[in-house]
Amino acid sequence: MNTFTLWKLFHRRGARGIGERTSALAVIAFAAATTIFLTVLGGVHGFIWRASADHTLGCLINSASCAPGTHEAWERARNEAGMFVAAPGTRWTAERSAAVMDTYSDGYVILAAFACLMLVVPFVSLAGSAARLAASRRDARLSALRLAGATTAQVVKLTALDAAIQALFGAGIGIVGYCAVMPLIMLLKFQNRHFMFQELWVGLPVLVGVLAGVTVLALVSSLITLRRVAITPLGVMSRAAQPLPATWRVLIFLVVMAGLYLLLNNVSMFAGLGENAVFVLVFGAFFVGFTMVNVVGTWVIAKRAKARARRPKDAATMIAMRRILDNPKRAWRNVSGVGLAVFIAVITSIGTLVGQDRGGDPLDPSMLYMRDIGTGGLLTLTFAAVLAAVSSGVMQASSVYDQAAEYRMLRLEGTDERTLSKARFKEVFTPLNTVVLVSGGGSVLLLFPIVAMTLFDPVTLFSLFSGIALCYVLIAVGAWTANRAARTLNMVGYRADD
Amino acid sequence: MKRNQNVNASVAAPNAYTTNAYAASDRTAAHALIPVGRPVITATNLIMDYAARRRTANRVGATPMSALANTAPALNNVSFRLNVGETVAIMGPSGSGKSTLLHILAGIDLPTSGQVTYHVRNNCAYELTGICDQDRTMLRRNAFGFVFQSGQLLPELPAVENIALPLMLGGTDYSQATDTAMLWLERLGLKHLASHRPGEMSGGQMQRVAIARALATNPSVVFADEPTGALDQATGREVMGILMDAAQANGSAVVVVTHDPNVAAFCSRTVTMCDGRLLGGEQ
Repeated sequence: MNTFTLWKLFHRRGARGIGERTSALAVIAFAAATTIFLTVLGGVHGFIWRASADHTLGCLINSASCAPGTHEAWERARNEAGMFVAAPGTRWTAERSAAVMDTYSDGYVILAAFACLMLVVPFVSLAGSAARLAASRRDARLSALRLAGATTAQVVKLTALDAAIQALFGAGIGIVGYCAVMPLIMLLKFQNRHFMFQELWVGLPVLVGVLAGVTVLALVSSLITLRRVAITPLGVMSRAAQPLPATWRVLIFLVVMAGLYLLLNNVSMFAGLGENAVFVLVFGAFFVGFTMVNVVGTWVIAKRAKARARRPKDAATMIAMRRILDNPKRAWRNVSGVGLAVFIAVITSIGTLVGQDRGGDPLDPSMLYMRDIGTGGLLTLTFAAVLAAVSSGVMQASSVYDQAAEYRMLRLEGTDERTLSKARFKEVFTPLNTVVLVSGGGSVLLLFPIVAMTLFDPVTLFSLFSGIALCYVLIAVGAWTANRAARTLNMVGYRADD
Repeated sequence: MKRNQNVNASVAAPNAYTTNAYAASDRTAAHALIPVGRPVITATNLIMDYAARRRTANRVGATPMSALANTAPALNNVSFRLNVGETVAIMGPSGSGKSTLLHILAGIDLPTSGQVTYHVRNNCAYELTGICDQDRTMLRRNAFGFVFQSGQLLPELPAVENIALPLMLGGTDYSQATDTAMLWLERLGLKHLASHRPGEMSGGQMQRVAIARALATNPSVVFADEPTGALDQATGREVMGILMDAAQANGSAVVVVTHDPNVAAFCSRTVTMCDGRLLGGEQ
């Protein structure tokens, strides 16, 4: 049978069920990822546009490839602007301020690239959860197909087609989302001016490229997950205890964090390398610190769950903690995006503090620069939090579908829906609290040598806590959505007949 | 012949269990006062028509009504009575409505029409067909126990916590619930499995843990749906023996849905279903 015919067989109108729902979830995940990816790409494009003499990336990297004449004019403008900086005590006019802001453009590109680097983690996690979601339902169906005589090649093709179509759909919706979000981004002020359409618009070729890229990504990741799920006709998953994460993770975490602390404490030693080099160094240190949180995260969560599982205060806690211990990696993946968001929130809060108006000249470029770091951080934080919430929601929903049979049994035996919802919430919020503590602690430790006591300024704290609150709200929305999914589950595909 | 042997075995067994504190709980004492022959569940004129239900569920249905109109009801005017401490096997071919009957008796599902009454004790009765879902959930948790074919244990929980779970759902605290669970494991000779998770056990071991879980709350009725369906003959017999002995020691009635005459032989009474009817009228 032709693969497409086979695919159509499974997607007939009226053939609704869990499969349909998981497809919808996967499409949502792909759409959210694409929207945010394109928006971030648009932002980077905008900063490159501003930093480059003829608005192209090639010119930014290599001045020889600039359009004729543009580079020279650009250099001249910069030199003039340099003179404004040299003269102390001048009142800033809008014109002069803007000219000096232009000389900071390279720094903006570096920071935007850093934000991108940070967002890679939640992207990968979201793509992974979308692929896993697709594979989770395929297990049963594909085994049945194999049993009915389908060849492995047919099954693999079917899966790949399924994933690719979901991704194509999702990416298409994501492009619409990108266009919808653009007016909002244009409201933001960077370098004291709004983004223009041509700065944020990445161009049609890039859109097509992203569409193709997302589809290929889904194709590849679904093939990889499929390889792990051996599709034998009798594909039954056996579940045995997994070893808990090893303690060496903690040692590495402690050693590296201490090293980073010392490095940041003596960051002035590197002042000779230039401002941008110091920036790269500091943000690099934060990135390493964040990676370390990822190394230690699974261990901390397992430890916490184990402590709470020793004497659970009720049935919901017992189920939740055991579920975390069953697969601490899954629990960590569920909230790892938030770990990142908290890191960004801490950095952002410092930007907000320095950038806030303290009676200084509102046109002072260095002031504007700090304010922009705050705004950019806030933006990155929002993106990271949304990505984390979507992927956590998708992951929870897919785990609900995975455990559908057990939930049904528990319901039959007289477990009320409230206990099960409570267990699901605990399963998310215990790791969430843990990760916020570890991540917050880690980033504060790294920031302390740089900003010292200003960390405890009310403005910083307010900004920090609102950032963390945002994460909690978004994750709660994700958990709530998963619970909604679970509520519809009990009736789906179930008929009390023998 | 075989049935008689089994009844004798069950009668002899209780001594092994009466030594523990739970056999002397309130409910067992109440059972002892009730004369044999007193009903625990009565069902009258049950009709279950899935097609009719689906018609009302989606009035502007996607499914053409004519396609469903000719389907025979899963239960067609079934009346059934279960006495205190009685063991009944429900047999019949696939699609005869056995599981549907079990689900309705246990308050898992509601019939299209008819009544199910659960008699707690002395003139106190619940109309299962007349109470809300939450109350039926509570009743299932407190008064009934369930043993399914497989997959009812949570794979993440070790055996002892799987057994403790229904107790904890009822509000018992962790240490007391796990103590009770350990007693049950000991009673069924499974103490060495306490910290094992279902994935690390054999099918027979899992079913024994499931039986312990079903009985841990001292239910008045244990519902078993093909409890040995996933086991080999010898293990199946062993598991049935344990289920019957433990239920009898507890004073619980047992309803077993099965295809297997060997399993039915463990029960004091067998009823047969065919096309949604109980053969031989009211049972």
